[in-house]
Order: sequence, then structure tokens, then C-alpha cells
Amino acid sequence: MVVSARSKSRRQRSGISPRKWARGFVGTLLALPLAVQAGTSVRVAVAADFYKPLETIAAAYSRQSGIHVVASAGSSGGLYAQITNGAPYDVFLSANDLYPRQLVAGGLAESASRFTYAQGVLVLWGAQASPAAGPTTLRSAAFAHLALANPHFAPYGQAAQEVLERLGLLKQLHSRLVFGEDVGQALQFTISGGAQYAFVSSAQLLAAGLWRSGSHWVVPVSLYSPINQQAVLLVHARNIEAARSFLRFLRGPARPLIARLGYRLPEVVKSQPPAHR
Amino acid sequence: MFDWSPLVLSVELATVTTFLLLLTGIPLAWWLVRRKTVVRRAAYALVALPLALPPTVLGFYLLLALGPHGPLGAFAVRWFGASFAFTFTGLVIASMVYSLPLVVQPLTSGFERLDAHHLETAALLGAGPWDRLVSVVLPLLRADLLTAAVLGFIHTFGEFGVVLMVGGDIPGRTRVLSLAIYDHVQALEYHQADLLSAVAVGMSFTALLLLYLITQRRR
Amino acid sequence: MLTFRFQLRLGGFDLDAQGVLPAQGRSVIFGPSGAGKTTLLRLMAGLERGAQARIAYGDELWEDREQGVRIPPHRRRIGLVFQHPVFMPGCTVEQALRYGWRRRLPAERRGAFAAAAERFGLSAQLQRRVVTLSGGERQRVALLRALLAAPRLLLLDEPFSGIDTELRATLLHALEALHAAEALPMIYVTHSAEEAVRFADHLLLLEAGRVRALGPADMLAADISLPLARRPDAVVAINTKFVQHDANDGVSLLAFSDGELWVTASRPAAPGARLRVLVHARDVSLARTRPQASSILNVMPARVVALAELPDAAVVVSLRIGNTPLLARVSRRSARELELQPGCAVYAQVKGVALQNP
Repeated sequence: MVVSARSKSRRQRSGISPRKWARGFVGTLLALPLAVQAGTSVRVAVAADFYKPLETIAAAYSRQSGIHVVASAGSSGGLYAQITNGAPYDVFLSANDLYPRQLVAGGLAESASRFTYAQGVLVLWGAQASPAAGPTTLRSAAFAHLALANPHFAPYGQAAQEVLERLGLLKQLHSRLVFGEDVGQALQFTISGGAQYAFVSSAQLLAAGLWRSGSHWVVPVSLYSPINQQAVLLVHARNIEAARSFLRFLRGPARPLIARLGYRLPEVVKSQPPAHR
Repeated sequence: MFDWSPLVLSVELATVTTFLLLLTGIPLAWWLVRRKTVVRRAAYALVALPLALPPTVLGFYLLLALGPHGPLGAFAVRWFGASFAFTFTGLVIASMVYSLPLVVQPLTSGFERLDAHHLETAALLGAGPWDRLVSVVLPLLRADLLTAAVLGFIHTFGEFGVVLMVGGDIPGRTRVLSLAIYDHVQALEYHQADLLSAVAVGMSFTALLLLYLITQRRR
Repeated sequence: MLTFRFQLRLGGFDLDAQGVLPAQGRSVIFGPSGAGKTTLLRLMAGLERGAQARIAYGDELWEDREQGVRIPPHRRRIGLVFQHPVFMPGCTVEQALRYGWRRRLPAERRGAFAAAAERFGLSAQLQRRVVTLSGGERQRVALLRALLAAPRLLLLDEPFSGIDTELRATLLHALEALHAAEALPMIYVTHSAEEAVRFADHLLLLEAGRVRALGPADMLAADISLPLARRPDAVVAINTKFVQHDANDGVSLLAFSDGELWVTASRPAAPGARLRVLVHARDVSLARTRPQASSILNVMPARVVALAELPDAAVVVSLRIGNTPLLARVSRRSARELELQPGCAVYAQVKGVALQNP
């Protein structure tokens, strides 16, 4: 029919046709970088507070093995959630032992590969030099706010809460407590001045160069259960050999490095040779 | 007993913030629209700025300002004995900054569309400036006011990054719904997280649906 | 007295107008489209900002930019009817009317609300939504709304321009009646020469943002140096008083200060009623000698004051009947053959049928 032919040509002349539009959209999507580069590399999901130490360790490891480490940092809980939903990591370095245990139980991680790579050192830090951070200051309650990581799920938070309980100060200081999602946030609360003291990790303080500023009290180990930071090999790892080699490095040659960076070292457990897959 | 205090807190925070933002936003929007000077356009860009900043960054600087060493916090210490950090009031102030653009923008858009003849006619019938605001402007801007209120409310209701930084996640005081959900997820308590999330999504969706039903009906 | 001086630059438009208008009676601002009439009116109302302005009403200084004095529009107690009036969406006639009414002190309100609505023929429409009314009805509502706010001075910006001619004549008549009844001073803007001459006691001619002329309407209308008199539809108004009516012939006799006119009329007016009559220049023909046995009813001796050549081979002649000005439009040929000169005596013939009885 004459009418329809005319209207069709008018549409074509009017500029961008729907087909062109769709092509432009798909083309842009395809042009976006998709997959990570293949090749020899180990993808590590690492708890935020261990990110900086990992950088140093990874550099040493690369020098020795020639294998590149790609790290993604986040909260342990967040990373756990991502892993359970298929996030493409080879190794998980958690800030606690809960999530690695859960991953093993869920069949997403290799049971034999789970080990404690570091033990967290809890430190009470204050931005001011005085009153000095310590049990006396805590008892005096002469401050507005005390920051800690959320004891509900953060390992350092649980430890801090334990300390307060053992000191018998939890009830008294309850109204002054301020909760961050992790020690990183707890530290930020103190730096910003909102909270006068915070329970943080010594590794953090070292990394931030705050060890010598303000005041700090390294909490005696008797006051809290050990903070076991555990690593585990993920079942869907792409480069299993490279991943295992990295974990071996973490367990062995990396130890002095880890200690220097502010962590306590767990006792060396006779490692069993991992079952070959 | 399930702890519903985060929901209550979020509703309280969103209500108070939205109310205060409407009170300050209406004169602000009016001022922004009246004349097109460079200063006012810069002010308009400033108002929109919170949209562009990452919430945790915004939250951090707000915490600095509201804490004992910051300008607002020091003022609070002098007059009330404590800073705004980690208080509900602090959250309200922070939320007002965070949600300001969502309240002001529908209002400026409404004011721009406002036919000046309405105001001129009212003035020549004896209505003074406040009278004109109440008897002409607000009724004409009903839809925009509603949009501003609803958007401001749900934006504050769903706020996370800013509240995270400024609030301190204190149960019953600053642990709002979004933080509680996040905490449950972190603690692998997915059931509680699902429950709270469902409530949050349901409330926000209902609010938006009502808004669009009411404002679209006037076509 | 309304004394004003305005200087304003708005986009590419430049207005510089000053003058004095009487505080009584009906003044008209007349000019072509784009002359700045609406702007001038808005400046008088205080709706335009950013102008060099000085305006005083009687001894009230409304605005003086240099002294930093400004009384905002809502306190000037004036009314303004826009060309296209606006109403709040969804409001009824009554709600619209009550807006200004409510804001005046009871002592200031003119008469009773219901009576005013009745007088304007809006009693039946009070509960109707304004959007459902016709253009003419809406203008009536706008006009009554402005009046109910008890203004001391009423400004009108071409209020009847969107309305058909018949209705317009009726509304204008109502406005005149209103003015007569309430003695409410009015300033009326129009680009219609006929409306201007008909309505005005005092005339302000505005051209390209400048005041071309300002003065009594009858003088200005007959002044052939001004564009008003040179228009093809040039018209002059004569104030008359009703004398008598002849029902058989359907004509009325009207007397003015310098003579009498017979006018077609279906009914007699009230005895002694004041009527303003419009005489178009094109309806006036001239003769050097008194015509005998002519069909034209009105023949009066007149004196030629001035002549001016017009395009399309026409000449406009400014006449006086006694002191009353009159205009005649004749062809160039006729002017030459009659040897029309300033000062010469002629007879003006005004077609009785052509007189417009307001």
C-alpha cells in the first residue's frame, strides 16, 4: 500500500531507528572490560584490617614465586556473603574463624586448608596523650564515648566486649559505647574526635603510624579469648596450585613479616600435606 | 521478642528530618528561584552536592563537624555540654544535609513553574507576602510539596553511609533500620535481615506508590 | 494626581515615560502593540522591579528609587484586571470573588457581597467553577473580584480584547456605568482607537516606550499632528445631554455645548441623561455652502483649523464647531476643489445614521 511505504521511509529518514538504538546499547556493553586478566595470579579476598599487611606479604611472595596476587578487601561478613554467592576468589583471609568455618561447612572451602594465619592484638587507643589509655582511665569513666567494633559479629568487637566484662566495667560504660562496623571505623570515630578512646588492632595503629601518637594500652591476652584470623582455600579456585603455594607462604616464610606488622603468631601446628584434588 | 526499635528509630528520624527540611526548604527553594544571579546558581549547585558525594565521605566530614572539635559540635558542647556526635540530634542534622537536594529540587521545580500572575493577582487583591505564600503558593504547589516530603522521607529512611559514620550504631539511639539489617547480615542472621528488609521495602514502595497515584491523578 | 516617571530597560525594550494623570475620571493609555502600554501599567501597579521609578498618588509617595522608598503593590489599595485573568485551579466564582473581599476591613468594603454579585449578573454562577465559564463571564468575575477588594484606583489592561465586539460593547458600558456610580478612577489600556476615544476623559499616547502626548481626550483625538487623528478609523467623542425623543421617526435629539445632534435611537434615554457620542471622521463630509434638501440630518457650521495630507490620497481636516473639535476625512481632490484652508468656514455634515450611541 502506498500509505505504509511512505510512512516507513519517513521513519527511516527521521534519524535514529530503534534497531540502531539497540545496537548502540549492546555494543557499549560488549566494549566494557569483562573478565579479569587470565594468567598466573592468585585472587585473594582479604578482611579490611589485613589489607595493608597483605600488600607487603604479597610483594615478598611475588618476588619469590613470580606469581601475582590480586587482593580485594572488604568486611569479613561482606566477603563471606559474596563468596557464598559465587564471587570469583581463590583464597579467603578472614578476620575471624567463624566465616571460614561456615564456608567449609557449606562445602565452599577445603577443610584441610583452614588455618590461623595471625592472631589479632587488641589495643586500647586514645587520641590524647592524657588521660592515658588504660584500665584506670576506663574505670574513671571520664570520657564521653568509647568506640569498638560491633561485638555482634566483629571479632575485635567481641574481644573488646570480653575485656570490659572481665574488668567488670561493661554495665558502667554501656551508655558510652559507640559501635563501628569494624575496627577501621572504630578508629575513625576516635580520629574524628567523636569518641575519646577506641578498641582497635595494633596492626592498624602501626599501619596508620599512630603507635607513637596519643596513648595506648596493649590489652593483656588473659583478658580476652584469642582473635584467630583464619585463611582458607576456596573450592572454586581457578589456580589451585598457585593458591596453595600462596597459603604455604603465608603459613611459613610470611610469619616474621606478620609478627612485625603487629600480629601475634599462633603456635606452629604440624601441617598435614593437603589432600590432592 | 524481636527488636523493632531500629524501625521505630528510622521512622522517627525520617519524619523529623523531612519536617525540618520542608520548613527550611520552602524558603530556600523560593530564594533560589527568585532571581538568577551567579551567587544563587552556585548555591543551587551546593544544595545538589550531597547527591554527588559518597555517603561515607559525607558522613565522615559531618562527624568531624558535629564532634567536639568541629564547629557545630563545639557549639553544642558550650551550650548543651555534649557534642552532636553519636546522638539522634546529630543524625537529624546529618540527614538534613544528606536529603536536602531531594527535598529542595521538587520545590524549586514547582516554584519555577509557578505563574507569577497568580502572585501578582493576589498582591493586587491585598495579600501580603506571607499571605500569598499560604493562600496561593502552597495550594498551587501541593503536588511538589508531597513529592518533596515523600522523597525526603524515604531517602532518609534508607540512609546508610552517613548514619553509619555519624551515629555510632548505638542500639535504641542511633541504630537505625539500615544499620540493623547490615549488622544482621554481617552476623549471618539472614532471617532477621530478611524480615527487616521486607518491612523497609514494603514501606518505601507503598509511600512511592501513593505518591505517584496522587500526583499523577491531577493530569 | 498620579505623578510618575519611569525608566526601564527590559531585554531589547527601552521605556522612558513620565507624566501626570488626574486622580479622578477615566484615563486611557493608548498605543500600538509593543509600545509598552502593559509595561507602563505594571510599573504603575508596582509589579515591575529594576526600574528607575518615581510615582506618587496624591500626596502618597508610592515609590522613589533614589530615596529608596517603595510601597509594595498589596498596600497601594489599587486593583488591576489583566488581559487574561488567572484564577486558582478548581476554584468557584464565589471563592474567587471572596479572595479580595475577605482581605479588606469591613469598613472599607463597598456595599454587600450579594448585592454586588447581583449587579454583575453573577448571582446564578456563584457555585460554578471558574474554568467552566466563557471568556466574557470570566472577565466579569475578574472585574468584580478586583472591585470587591475596594481599590481606590482601578487599572485595566485591555480587559476585553479577547471578547467579541457585541459583548465588549456591553461590558464597556457596564464599566462606564460603574465609574459613574462609584466615581472610581480608572486607568484603561487599549490599542483600539475607538475604545480609547469613547472611554477616555484623559488620554496618554504611548509610542515605542515614549509618551507621545498626554492631555484631555477630546483635544488629543482631534489633533491632526498626532497619529490618532490620522488613522482611517479616526474618531472624536462629544459629550451630550439628552433632550427629547421622537418615537415615530426613531430618533433622539442630543444637545452639546455648541449645538445639537439627531441620533438614531429606539428608546428615549432618561431626561437630562449624559451621553457620550462618537463621530467617525469618515462619516463627516464638508460643503462650502449650506446644502439644501440633503438626506443628512445633522448639518452644522464649522471652522477649519488645520489640514493634513494622508497616504492613499486622503486629507484629514480638523474642525471646530464653536469650541467642540471635530474631524472630517475627505479625498485630496475634494480638498483641493473646495479650496479648504485653515480659517475658512464650512458646513460639516454628519450622517445621522453613523453616530454611535453608547
